[in-house]
Amino acid sequence: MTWKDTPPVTRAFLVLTGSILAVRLALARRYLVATVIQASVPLQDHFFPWVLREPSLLAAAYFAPFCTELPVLLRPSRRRMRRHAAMVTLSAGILLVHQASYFFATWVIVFWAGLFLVWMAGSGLDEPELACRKGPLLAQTLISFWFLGGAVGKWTPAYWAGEPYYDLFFAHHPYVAYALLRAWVDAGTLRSIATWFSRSVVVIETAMAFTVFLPARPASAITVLVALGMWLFAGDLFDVAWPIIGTALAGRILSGAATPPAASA
Amino acid sequence: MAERDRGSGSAPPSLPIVDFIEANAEKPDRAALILLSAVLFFSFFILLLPLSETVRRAGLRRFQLTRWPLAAWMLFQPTPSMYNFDNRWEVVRTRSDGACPETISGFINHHVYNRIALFDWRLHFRRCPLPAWVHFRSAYMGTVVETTYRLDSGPDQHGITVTPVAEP
Repeated sequence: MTWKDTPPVTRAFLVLTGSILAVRLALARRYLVATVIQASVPLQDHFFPWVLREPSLLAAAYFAPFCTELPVLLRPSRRRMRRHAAMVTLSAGILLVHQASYFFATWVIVFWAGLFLVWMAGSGLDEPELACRKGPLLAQTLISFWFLGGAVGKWTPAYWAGEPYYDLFFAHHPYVAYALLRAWVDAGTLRSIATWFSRSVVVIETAMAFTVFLPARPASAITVLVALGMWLFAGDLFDVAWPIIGTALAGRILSGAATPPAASA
Repeated sequence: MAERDRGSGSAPPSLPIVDFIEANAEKPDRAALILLSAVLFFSFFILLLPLSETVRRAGLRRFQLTRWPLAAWMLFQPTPSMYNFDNRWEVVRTRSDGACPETISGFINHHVYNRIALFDWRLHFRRCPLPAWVHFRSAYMGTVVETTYRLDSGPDQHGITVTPVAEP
């Protein structure tokens, strides 16, 4: 079966799964190191019970989805899709509360994307025509929600002045874009660029919270552009940008295949 | 399956929210409604951040892992909060040593306790003289939460022990 012959719900599912798999592959070495350090330099604190400090739980939650990711990409049967969607969501849910990984935004995005996969593998496959009319709203709601969470917390004088971004990225970060800027411009200009960059982020994220109200095609295109921008300005944000792009494309695929109510009746 | 006109012809593009309502009226989709309800639940608390001092304080404490029962904290972990709040930290040591300055300070993106739990920072603390005191300060719209943790060598010089320092 070719890509074009594949049902739209399955195509949307595979695109989102592929974006999450890409992140999992790119971060595999990092999580291997994290597991080793979690075992060799344990952190005993007041908050996390022993089970949420277990290196084996970290490794299992991170690597286990590979077992369902590859089979579903090779042959996306209904059973494999359901099993994989549950696995992605469960894995992200564990990584969201494990001591060594709870702070990565990756797992917030992947957790919700996993629930979207669960919906596609359930209701989506059961009612494929209706799914193409329901799915785009779900994808756009998730995208709006993620940006809303980022935006509201940045409504602070510090972010409007650009201080956190200056300190975290512009002044010291080794990423090539910031290294080049430091080499090209003087300190005052760099500070000014950081301020306007930070203001742009606050405004764009706030605006992105409203994508749920846009038609599917522009919403998807804008989301992909913004996520690519995130990745361009901070290379290590690929772990968030790729699943966002996967969700936007999944919404677009479903919307493109939707039939109007009159045609489907 | 016929392609629906979504902005490429003369008909105005349809809105996903309208399509969803129509499709759901034809056949209600419990799973989709549960997913939307969950998003609305968390969005409600996000939107309360600027409005409620209680929610702000809880949000700042969530980042510092203080005064949250574990189960409630786990329930709210799916809340997107990337680069939220004005978070700063300061590390103070009793002595410096090569790559371990007596003080470190700066901004933190989010979930501030990551500066202790993240594996590269954990290695940094393990390689530097302990004890060290890590002070976090998170602020948002006039609400400020501060927490100090003391870091010591773990049992048998293995790992790190983190203890919250009681507020005066």
